[in-house]
Amino acid sequence: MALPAGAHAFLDHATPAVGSTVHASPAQMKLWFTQELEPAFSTVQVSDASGKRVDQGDPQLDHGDATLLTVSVPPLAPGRYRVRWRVLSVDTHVTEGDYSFDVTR
Amino acid sequence: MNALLASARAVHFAAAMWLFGELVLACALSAWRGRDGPTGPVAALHRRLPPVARSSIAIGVASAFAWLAAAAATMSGVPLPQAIEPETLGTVLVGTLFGKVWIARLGLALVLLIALWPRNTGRGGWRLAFSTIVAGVYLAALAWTGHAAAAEGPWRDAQLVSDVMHLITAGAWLGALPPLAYLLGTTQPIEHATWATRRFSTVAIACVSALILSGLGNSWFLVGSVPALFGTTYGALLLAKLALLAVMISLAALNRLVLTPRLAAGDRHAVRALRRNTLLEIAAGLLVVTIVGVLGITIPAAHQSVLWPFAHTLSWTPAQESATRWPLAAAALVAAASVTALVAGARRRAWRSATAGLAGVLASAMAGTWLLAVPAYPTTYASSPVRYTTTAIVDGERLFATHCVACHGSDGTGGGRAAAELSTRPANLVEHAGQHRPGELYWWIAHGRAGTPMPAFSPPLGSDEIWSIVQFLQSLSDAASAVGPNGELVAEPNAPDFSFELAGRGQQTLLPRDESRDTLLVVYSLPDSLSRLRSLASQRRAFDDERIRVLAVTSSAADAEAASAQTAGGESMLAIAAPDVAKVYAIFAARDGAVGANLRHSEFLIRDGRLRARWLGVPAADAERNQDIWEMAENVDREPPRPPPSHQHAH
Ligand code: HEC
Repeated sequence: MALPAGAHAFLDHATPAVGSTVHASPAQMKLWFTQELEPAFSTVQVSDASGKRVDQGDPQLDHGDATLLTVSVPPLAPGRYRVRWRVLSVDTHVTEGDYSFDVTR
Repeated sequence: MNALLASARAVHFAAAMWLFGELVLACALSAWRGRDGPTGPVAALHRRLPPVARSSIAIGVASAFAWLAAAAATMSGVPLPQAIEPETLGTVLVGTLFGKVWIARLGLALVLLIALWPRNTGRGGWRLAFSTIVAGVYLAALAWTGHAAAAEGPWRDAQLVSDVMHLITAGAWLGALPPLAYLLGTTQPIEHATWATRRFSTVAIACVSALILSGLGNSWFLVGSVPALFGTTYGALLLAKLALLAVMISLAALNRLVLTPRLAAGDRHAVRALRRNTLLEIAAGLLVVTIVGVLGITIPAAHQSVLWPFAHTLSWTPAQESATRWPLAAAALVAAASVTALVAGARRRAWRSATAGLAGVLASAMAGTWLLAVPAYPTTYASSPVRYTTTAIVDGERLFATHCVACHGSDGTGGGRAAAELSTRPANLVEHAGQHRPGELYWWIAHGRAGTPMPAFSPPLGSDEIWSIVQFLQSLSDAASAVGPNGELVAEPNAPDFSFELAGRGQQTLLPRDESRDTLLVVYSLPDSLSRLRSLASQRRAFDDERIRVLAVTSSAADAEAASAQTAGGESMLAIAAPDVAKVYAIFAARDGAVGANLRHSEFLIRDGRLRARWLGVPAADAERNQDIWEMAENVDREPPRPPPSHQHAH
């Protein structure tokens, strides 16, 4: 579980959920935060067990909900994946954290 | 970087407040002069305005640039020299709320510089009024660069209003202190100084009242609780700020109640004393603003885990024992009588009775504190960083089975194998978990209980593992206290969260914030549940119409497979989820307070993160059960929506 790193938008929940196992490869990572984010400096990256980055590099805020950050991924092979996020909330504070999830058949 | 950020903020706040306060005092004195005042002080302040405006705007703009640079560095995460390259600065200025507010405020600073240019002043009230308003906006806009701007939901506006009021009143009061000190040092004759001081103090009293009100508002939003005030960095800084404020208010009261009357009586020394106190107030004010600079980059206490600094805390628990109840009632009576004596005595100026009253109040307060004091630990008010999820509860259960059952028993009630040989009976954790704070349980598990056989578990267990055990104990106690004598739900236990998939769709969680529908969670096993599952699948339109999402989970992978093969149209409700989910919800399916009863079939209605109703066993008549569920859901939907339970959420 990610602990506050010294500022103020915290991960509320995510899908695939923190530490969970999914059976179908997700098309997108969705991360909900406790505060509205600034799109400018908010990023999320996904890497596989070997540390290779697998996401499509298109992190963006949801149109209707500025607390929801998404990034797309190609179909994921079974294995463990690590999601690393670093976000800027509108009160100018940066937080970061990471979690992992598994894909199985 | 943080030091640069905090100091740039502090200097900037001070400069903006100074300019605004200077203008407010000039306005106030000009407005009052019309009726009863001398022109001397007003003219002096007007002469002072252009140079003051120039310096405060220069300081303000310089510190704004330093702030921008430091903010760009923290936002982008690159070192300062790289952060101030045009590309990063551009993104900050155009792409963030902070940047937009920064640009707008720079524009306001320019407007002020022009409006207060020497040749433009001294031209009557309009320009002064205009500049004052612009300077007020320049100051108030700072609210959008702070924590208030990031607030969520309907409270955001309230928080911004409170913050704006705080900035404006702080500016009008503190910023007017330098010109007051100046007037006290230069104004002749003494009557004019008296007049100016009186006018200032009228403004100051109004400001300080509003300042305290809005300060209480801000603290409510950002600190949220008394433990957080004492147990977080943010709270400690706030307490320091309050202490300085108390000093300032005492000085102000001294000025108003003692020195101003002496001044009015023509006492020349009073002028010097007033001026000295004002300078002291300015010094304290600068310290306050320094703290404000740091507060702005500190995690608000309401979002931080509390570390309680004292060995005791106050609690109502002792009041439930008759041994303390009577002394407590007596103390309350004495307190009431003493307050009456104090008020009556003060009114009639009967000082002896007032003093006795005061002594009574203090004594009864001390007695009350002593009676209600309970031991406390650093983690007493801590909130769990491990969320209340089925995964955490199952982890906790597993650890409990390994480390605790020997003494506490497999059901947690204290009757373990080794219990009989112990000097102290192991606690009934099902009961105790409901009576104590999670943070207390955490401390006792981690550090043991001295003088009893309860061992310390940190190490071998890590912090997250202990929190998982606490969440497990919480679920046991919630389940036990939620069921009434006839097996009905008498409370609304929190629903542990979990994630699941529906065939062919992405993963979801039970408790997304935007879920407005109720959930009917069906815990099933085959073959008993098959007919019910088929009936639910055939009724899915009807459930949709009632705005109920039906989810079915099982603890057996084989059952899950068989169910999806044998239930036509079941894809929309048969969840692919870890077996933990069904196992944990079975805890909430106990018939009569017996913990851990594992029923073959149960159904739960979940709304806003709470279990609101349950049905045990496969129904004899489906239609009747459905009718019952829909009625229940309609009742529940009539209630105003509630935020999800807070302990789902500790950061
Ligand atoms: C060697 C026996 C033993 C073991 C093992 C043990 N406990 Fe205890 N525990 C006790 C006894 C005895 C008490 C009662 C202490 C008292 O009365 O102050 C106690 C008290 C507690 C309390 C304090 C309850 C209260 O309200 O005072 C908690 C919480 C607790 N145990 C949790 C656990 C957990 C969790 C584990 C496993 C990680 C565990 N214990 C393992 C013997 C044990």
